[in-house]
Amino acid sequence: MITYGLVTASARMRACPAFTGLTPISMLNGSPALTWPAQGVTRVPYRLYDDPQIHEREQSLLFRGPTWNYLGLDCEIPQPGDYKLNFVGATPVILCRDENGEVHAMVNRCAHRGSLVCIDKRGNREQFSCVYHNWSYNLRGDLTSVAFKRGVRGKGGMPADFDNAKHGLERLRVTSFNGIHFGTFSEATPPLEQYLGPVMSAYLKRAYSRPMKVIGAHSQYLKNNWKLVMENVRDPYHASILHLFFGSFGLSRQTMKGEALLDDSGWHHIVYTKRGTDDIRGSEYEGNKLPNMKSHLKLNDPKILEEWPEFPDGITNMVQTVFPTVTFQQISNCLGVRHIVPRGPHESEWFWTLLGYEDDEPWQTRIRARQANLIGPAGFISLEDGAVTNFVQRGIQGGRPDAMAVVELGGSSIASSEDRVTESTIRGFWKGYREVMGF
Amino acid sequence: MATRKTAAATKAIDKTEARLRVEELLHEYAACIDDGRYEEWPAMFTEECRYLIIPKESHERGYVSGFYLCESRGMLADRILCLRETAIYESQQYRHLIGGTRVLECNAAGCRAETPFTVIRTTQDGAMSLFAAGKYVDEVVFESERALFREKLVLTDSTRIDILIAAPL
Repeated sequence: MITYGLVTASARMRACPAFTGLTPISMLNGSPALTWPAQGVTRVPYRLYDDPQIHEREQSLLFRGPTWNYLGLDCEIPQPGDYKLNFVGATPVILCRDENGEVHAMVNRCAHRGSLVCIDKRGNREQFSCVYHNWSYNLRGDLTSVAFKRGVRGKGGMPADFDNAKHGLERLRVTSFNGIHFGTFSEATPPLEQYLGPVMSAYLKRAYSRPMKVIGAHSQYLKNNWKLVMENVRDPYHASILHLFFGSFGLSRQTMKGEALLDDSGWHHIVYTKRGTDDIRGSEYEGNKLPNMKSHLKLNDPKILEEWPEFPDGITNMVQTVFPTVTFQQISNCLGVRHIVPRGPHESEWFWTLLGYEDDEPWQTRIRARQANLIGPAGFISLEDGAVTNFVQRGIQGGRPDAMAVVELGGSSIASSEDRVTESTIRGFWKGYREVMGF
Repeated sequence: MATRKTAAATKAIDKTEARLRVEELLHEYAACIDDGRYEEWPAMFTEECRYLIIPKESHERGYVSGFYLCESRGMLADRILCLRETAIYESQQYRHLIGGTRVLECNAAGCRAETPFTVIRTTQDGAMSLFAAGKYVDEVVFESERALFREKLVLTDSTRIDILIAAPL
């Protein structure tokens, strides 16, 4: 059997237009066919960030395709009846825990006429009832009652053969990995550990092996396509260049020990560095030769950089993605999840969940909270990300139809390396994207 | 109008006087940011202080992480240092609209007060938007002639930030 990464050929075919009865991309009305450039994933057509037709295709082929999509964490829904709303692509979903402690996910859309069945973004429920006509569902998404099902005084009502069992909420398959819940619409998605591969699984277990707690939650509304965000988090090239804070205060340099890792499929990635492991003598960093380094700067109160060695492997910065839309990060002791949700072709919403461990001492929580200054929409090392992805969205407007990005740092490889002067991790994303989207 | 004698009224400072001092501090605070005089901003706080921008919802849930957290005048100054030297973003202008201050409690040394605010953000292309709305929950100390923030919670009504927060709110 031919395999494309970890997804079998048959899984891929099921996801392809010709096999799903969807209009092939080349025949979309008014939209010229997208042919991937001959150079492969070292080139990315700008149209992918901008075309409403492609956004629609992503909903059916990628988000409803053979992908595991981030839904939430155990610590967000600890008790029976707890739920949290999220999105898989554009689709609104409910993640909840039933009476027996089992975790379920279903589309937040009444089987009757399509209304949201749950409005508040989190809470605790015994059931989900649609306010429109009071169709009610249990915590597994089964339809349990229909208002006036037998009519009123024998008149009206649903047909006698109406079967509640055929009208539940649409369900996702859910898998849980060390308290992290993922969902998929496709039967073809391989088991999560197979999807992740051994290296990605091991690194995810590293931080998510103990009960966690949420210490912050907010979102950032971005005026750019969601894929620009995933490229950005998978891009070790920009870290010490765009984020002057990183370089100026010596938090991250290319000279530090670290790795850019990809799983065998290339879909998922990790980039990590170990601070305090480099000697900049003789490198490009020596003597302030790099124009963007402001190593003369001194913090008035370096409390923000206080940290403790939390992981025995000595990793001080780590960003890990699970294709397609979720990022797990460790910046010193600042732990968190970032989940990007597309909001149409030109906008996206980035949900940040900041974490600590349930058994953290107060001083540890305090350090995590201080370090949170580094990340998020006001973060010393992430404020620029929202700016620059928007600059790309604006920069690509009105280009030639075949205009494209050059992603050639480190050649054309899609492989792990010890240096981070590479864009292999971005190419891995596009490899996965092409396989799922059939480009 | 008859004024009911309260414990507060017998102290050296009454609620009205406290409100006027807080209002003056808030108006200077807003003008300092809106005028881009960021370097003057940390001096409006006590040396040991707490400045936190966080969604109201997060604060109510007991979360400790928001958008800005400064625990000293030095950390406030570092925010400005980085705003000037390391942060990269498109130039933008804030305009604070400060609502009516309510003094919750006060004595001669200081007071706690709540004040609603909105911030309109104008970007260089001319686009204007209602960037933030919320309330300040301030703990203000009166030091001789000056009033200073010992704690300033900036509780935003929305959990969502439009692209990024550069300057303080």
